Parts: sequence; C-alpha cells; structure tokens
Amino acid sequence: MPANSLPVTIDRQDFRFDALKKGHNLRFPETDADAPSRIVICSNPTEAADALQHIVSAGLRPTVRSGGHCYEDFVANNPNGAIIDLSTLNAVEASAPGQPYRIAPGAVLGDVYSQLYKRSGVTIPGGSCYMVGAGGHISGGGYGLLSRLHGLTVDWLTGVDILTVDANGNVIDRRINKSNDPELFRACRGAGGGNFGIITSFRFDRLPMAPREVATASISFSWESMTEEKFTKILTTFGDYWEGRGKDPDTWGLFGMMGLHTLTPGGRIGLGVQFCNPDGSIDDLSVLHEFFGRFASLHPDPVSPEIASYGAHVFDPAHREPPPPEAGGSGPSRFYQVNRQLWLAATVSGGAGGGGSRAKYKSAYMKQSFTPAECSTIYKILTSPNIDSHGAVLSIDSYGGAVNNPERIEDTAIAQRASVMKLQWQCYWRNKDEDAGRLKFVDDYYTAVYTGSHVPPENQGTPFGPRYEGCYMNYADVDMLRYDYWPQLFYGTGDLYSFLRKVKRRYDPNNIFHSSMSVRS
Amino acid sequence: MSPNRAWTRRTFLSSLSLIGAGVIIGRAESVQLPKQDAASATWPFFAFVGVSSDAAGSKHTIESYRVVDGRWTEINSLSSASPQSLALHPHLPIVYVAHSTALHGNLPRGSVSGYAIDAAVGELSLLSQEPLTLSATYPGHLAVSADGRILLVSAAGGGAYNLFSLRRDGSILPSPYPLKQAGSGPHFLQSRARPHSVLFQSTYDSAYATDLGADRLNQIALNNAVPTVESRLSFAPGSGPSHIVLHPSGRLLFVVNRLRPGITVVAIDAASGALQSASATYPVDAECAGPIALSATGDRIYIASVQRTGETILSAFAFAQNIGKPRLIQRTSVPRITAPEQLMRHDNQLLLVGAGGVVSVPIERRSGLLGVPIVAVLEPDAVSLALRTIM
Repeated sequence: MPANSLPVTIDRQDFRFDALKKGHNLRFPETDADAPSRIVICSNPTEAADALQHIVSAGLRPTVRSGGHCYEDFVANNPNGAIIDLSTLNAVEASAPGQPYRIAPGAVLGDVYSQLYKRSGVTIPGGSCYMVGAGGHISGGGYGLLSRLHGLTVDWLTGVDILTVDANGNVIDRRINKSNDPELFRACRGAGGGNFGIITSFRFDRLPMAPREVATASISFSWESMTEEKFTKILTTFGDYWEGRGKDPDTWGLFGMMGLHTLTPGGRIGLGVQFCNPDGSIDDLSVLHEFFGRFASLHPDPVSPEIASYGAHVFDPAHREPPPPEAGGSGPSRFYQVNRQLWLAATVSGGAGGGGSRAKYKSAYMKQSFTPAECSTIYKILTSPNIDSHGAVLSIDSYGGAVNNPERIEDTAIAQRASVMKLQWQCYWRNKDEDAGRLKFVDDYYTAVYTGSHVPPENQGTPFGPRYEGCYMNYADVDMLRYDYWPQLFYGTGDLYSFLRKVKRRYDPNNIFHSSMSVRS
Repeated sequence: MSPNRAWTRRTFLSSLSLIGAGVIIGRAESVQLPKQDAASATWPFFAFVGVSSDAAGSKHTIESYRVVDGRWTEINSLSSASPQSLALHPHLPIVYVAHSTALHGNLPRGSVSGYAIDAAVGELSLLSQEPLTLSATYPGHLAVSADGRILLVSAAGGGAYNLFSLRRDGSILPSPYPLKQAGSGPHFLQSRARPHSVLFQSTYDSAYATDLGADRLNQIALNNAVPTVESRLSFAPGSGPSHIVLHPSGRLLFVVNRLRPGITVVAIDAASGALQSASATYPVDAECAGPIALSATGDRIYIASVQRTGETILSAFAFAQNIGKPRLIQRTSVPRITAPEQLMRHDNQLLLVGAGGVVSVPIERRSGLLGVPIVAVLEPDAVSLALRTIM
C-alpha cells in the first residue's frame, strides 16, 4: 500500500455502513443515534495519521477498531463520531537479522500465529480466538494458552509505533520503547486500547519459540449425576491445583480451562487442558496425567468421542492415546484421552473467535482456589429452575506461572501478577428485547458470587480483597463503574492507575481517546 | 497571577475566583450593605438561583424567589446537582440547568435538565434530564436557541460542546451531538481546551462559543442540528476568552479575557455571521475578569472582576460603535460577592451572582452609571441565576 494513498471513508449513505458500524458484539451501537457518522478504513500508518488529524480538527470523537471484539460500547457507540478501522492495516513482519518482529494492529491472532510460525518458528503467548485483532488484544495484555509458560504478550513487547494528539490538536507519530517515551511505552503494555492514541505497530525484538506439538485432553461431568457437594469438589480440585502444584515451573506448560454452562438435559461440565513441556515438547506427559488423576475419584464421565478433544480441532485417532491406569483409569472406565497435535494446527484450526450475537462479559482474577460459598452460589444459579440462566457460560482459565513475575508490574501496565485463575463470565443472546433481562441476570450472577464472608465488607459484590486481584480490562465491564474503586479493580492497588493518569495528561491532554472506562485525565 | 494556587472544583471550572475565600469573607463581613427596597423596583419576576457547594454536607439546590417591587421572597428550594448555569426557554415556562458534575450514572459526563416553571407560583418540577456525551464533564454554561429547538452546552472539563435537540414541549431529547475541542495555552489552566460560554445568534443559525483553554472564539454552525466550527478567531496566548455578549446591532461581540483581563471587541460578518476580526484588547484592571453585561442600547459595558486584594469590582465602560473602543467611566466595589459567576441586566439594574449571593446594582437610566449595591439574596454558594417575568 503506498504511503500516500487515501483512506476509504464509509458514511451513512454507503451500503457498507450498516455492516461495518457494528463490531462482534451486536449490542452496539445501541441506537441509530449512537452510531458514528463515518468509518474510515486505514491501511497504513500514514492513512491513519491523516484520518486522525482530520477527525480531531473537525471536532469529532475518534474510536479505534482493529478486530472489532471490544466487549463494551467503547468503539461502536460513537454518536456522530468516526471509527478508525485498522483491520486492513494487518501486516505481520517476521524478523530479519537485526530487525524486530512487527505486528500491525489489524492482524488477527490466527494470522499472527501462522505468519510468525511459518517464517520464524516463534509465537506470541496470546489468546485462542483466531479472529481477535492484535491491536486490542495486545494493548490489554495479550493473555492465552501459552501465558503460563511464557508470560503475557506485553511482557515480550519492546516497542510501539503510536499516533498521539498533542495539546494543540496535532497528531504526533511516535516510535516508543524503554528509552523513548518510556512512560507511554509502559502504559501501552497492558492498560487497554483507546486510552492514549492509535497504535500502528507492535515491535518485539525476540519472541518465544512455538511448541512443536501440544497434548490436549478433556474430561467432563454430566449434570444428571451432579450434586452441590460434587460440584464444589470439582471446582476446588481444579482451583487447588493451580493454587498449589500449578505454581511449580514444570507445570507451566499446562493450561486448563473449565466451562460451566447452565444445567440442560444431557449437558456436561467440561474441563480441558493443553499441555507441552517447558522445552516445547510433549515427550513427558506426567504433569498432564497427574492433573487429571486428581479428578479420578470424582468419577468423570467415560470418554465419548465428541468431548474427547478439547482444543483439538483436528480429530486424528492415530494421535490419541489413553492415559496410564494410575491417572485416568483403563478399559471402558477411562475418562480422558490424550490427543497429540502439532501446535500450529491446534492453535489456528477452527478458531473462529466468537461474535455475531449480543453478549455481556465480566471477569475476575483469583489468587486462591474456590471457596465453598462461591461454589454453592454458582451451583444454585446454574441449577435453579427459577433463574433464567440460558446463554450463560463461566469460563475458568488457569493463570499464573510465568505471568506471575512481580518485576513485570513495574515495566508493564498489568498489575495482576499473583493470580492463579482468571474467570470470564459470558452470556449470549439474540434479540434486543432480551437485553435488559440478560444484562441483569449476568450482573446478579456475578455479584452474588462475590457477596459473602469471603469478600471484605467494603468490597461486597466484587472480586477484591485478599483472595482476588480484581478484573481484566480486556474483558471490559461497565457495570464495575458503580464501584468508586473500579480503577483499582482493573489496575491494582499500587501506583499503576495514578501513573496511567499522569501519562494520560501528558500524552492525551485533551482526552481525545476516551470511553466510559478509559483512564481519566 | 499565582501559578500554584489551590483551586476548588468551582473555581477551577468556572475559572472565576482567584482569591482565597477566607480573605474575602473577612472583608465582606465587615461591610454593611443596605437591603433591597422599593426604590429599585422592577416588573415582578421569578428568580431562580443555582446553589452549589464544594464543602462537606454540600448544598446543591435551585432556590426559587418571587421578586416584587424589589423585594425577594423565597418560594421553595429544589435539590439539583451542581446547577452551574441556568437558561430560560424563549417562550415556554422552562428553565434549563447545566449540572456541573464529573459523573452521571457512573459514567464520565455531566448532564442537563429541564424544569417546568409553575407560572402561578414559580415552583419548579423536573421535566427531563439527559446526560452529556462521554467525557463531556463539568458543563459550565448553556444557552437555548431563539426558536427553542436547540440547547447548546459547553463542557469545560471534557473540552466539548454538546448540542441537544428540544421537543416541542421543551423536554430534552437524548443523544446530543458532541463537538470535541483540542487546544491549549501557556497559562496553567490552559493545559487543554476548556469551552466556557455559549451564545446563540439567531440571524445566522449559528452560535458563538469561547474556549478559555485554547484561546479561541468559535462560530458554531448548526446545520441539521449537527454542530461544526464554521469560523474561528484565535486570541493572544494566555488570554483565556470566557464570557461573551452580543451587541444589540448583532454585528459585534464583546469577549472577556479572563486570564489576561480585558475586553476584546469582535466584528461579525453581516452576511454570514462569520467571525471577522478582533480589535485590540482593552485591559481591565483586575486580577481576573469575570462576567459581562450590556446596557439595552449597547453603549455601556459592565464587567465584574476580582482584584488582587480579593475585592470584587464592577466596571462600567462607555462604548460607541463608530469609535469601537471601550472607555472606562466608573468602578464600584461590590463587597458581598467574592467569586462573581454571572452578571445580567434586568430593566434598570444589574444582578450579580456569585459566592455570597445575589446583589442588585441600580443603573442610572441616562448616564448608565451604577448606584449603590443592594443585597438581594444572601447565599454563600450561589453560582447561577435565571429570571422570568411574572405574567
């Protein structure tokens, strides 16, 4: 793309406008009046700079979209404003000798993994959804299945190209790193998109080698045989592992995820893992087997074909093996199978990335395992015939490992460096007339889980206090704004938020880049 | 000007008082002002006084008064968050309020309300309330178009103007159009744009708006109720353009420079309403210059200002359109008011509102000179005022 090309502007009269005004969460824009006046497609940094200057000079609010997966209204609700769409600014440049890896914000994660792997055999420890854009994902930390092994994506970030707007409204093209604009650089390492400017390139001097293979496996528990006691035992067994054994470095290649859905006929609670050894091999699966062995006494369902391959998008019986008898049983009673997969195939195949429905999300970082009160509340809500919990999914991801390097609190904008699990509440529905009911349900569900003696009195309803580390900004949740300590929920109790405000005042003094949860100026 | 002075929310936002309150209270307490009497009688009217306090247990109200023969009688008090600015609908009994807050509904934005005025007794009842756009915090001023269809708000905290459409019944439609500003100046209050005052000019379907932070005066076009900057004048860096009034001819604007106290006279293009040129700035001897009002004919300009000592002064200037240069003719002290927020002319009097209350200053009809200030309302945290004649 030539540097002097013109961005494509799509206004309300353009037939493409209705398709492009929305991101993946179809709740936004909420009304026609909330929609922008135009969408500007920028395919290179020069176009983005020109578009931004024009938008600022015209007195419009710019919002920025890379992959379009923002969970809240930060981008699509922009009355009469302009969305700068970077989805076609999507190059991934693998490293030439002496040159950094460069990832443009519009590149989707699946393409990032594929390009980096094919050209250099490296990867970023990012998320599992193929179509999520790098711009928002990395700006908010960039966490995924390899993060316990390699840390967050921003832990590897060594430079950023960013467009900021100075006090007089002029667009400034900055190339920042630990030496140039170091405070802004730190802020770009996890504070979340839409705060300080438009990132046009992420640079990495080096990246971790991609695993050659990964092992995937899953177990499940049917709702039919579930009791609150068993449910609690399943959750605490899962949580206890990450709080205890999961802190040992030899386990850091193990990523676990549990999905809790509403009780439905034939429904199951699923628990899956992806594993590789710290050296990127799967020659020794003892960690994986040890993990599943902890669940044997809870009588998981016998292996069934449709659930035997959590994370295994390519079903290949030749690469499946049963667990050893001491771990997962044997013969007809065995409850999991291990699937060996090439890492690239496991990572990029079939990962669509969600979207296309109305949705609401919430999050919680947990430093400790589940309490009986949390388990009881979740169980009651998912099983109560009097609560309409349809469309709800609670994803419980393992966390920690290499992420929990406390030194990275000082040079990144991610404060959560002591947690062992990260929870994501999700709820999906189709129709606008369900919005109020679904939003209330998710809010009530979440609030109930964090209400009780396991949460300090002053933090009731929130994952805050000794057991928790608050929430994840990339799972943005405007409900939390009702708590006056919401910045501490998302940015920790240290000096990070005050630091970010200082950066905001310096690099975006006119608060050009703002949303309901952006860093306050 | 002291660069390190601690500013309260109100002073920071309205950018008016540069004086420590303790100093002023001490001075004001020692001054005995005459109470309002029938000598300054005008046509009966309702007065609505916005009250907003930063203090603990703060008071945020709109106080309604009936004013007959110069006597102010309180009608009632209505709770209302930080009513920094009040404006009347041009023909409906409605007063609009800019709520100068940082949050509305947990989101970073202020809000505006419309209150219906009971035409018989002057009591207010909430008609509608709507939030400003995101980041449009601390709205400090608002105005209603002459046709009663548009409400324009300046948000000092968020560096934006917001344009609301009004329904036929005067209620406020949601989803305003924002006009975001970016700019700065050398003064420590000018780290970013700070829209200050707005004023409609019905002849050209546009409005004029000052930006204290960016040293600008904007003409805002209102095509299809979408605000855009149609023309713009930049002031000398550090001027801090703030309060504005329109000359009765419609061809001149008087702009108060708050930070570098003075008056700038701006010519308006007769055909388009575009901002043409600014005169030299005529200094006002003060620490900071505040609200402005004009005589009915436009030949007298009145400006409230604050001296370095903390004293509030009302200055009267003679102005002849063919000469174009304001000439100081009188300065008079207004002891009770310590942070002048708003100055309006009503018949043959000026009403000055600010911390301390409302003070009435009679205007000598022929000379335009000011008489002795008279206390109308004692209210330590008064910030805004609107008047409606009793029919």
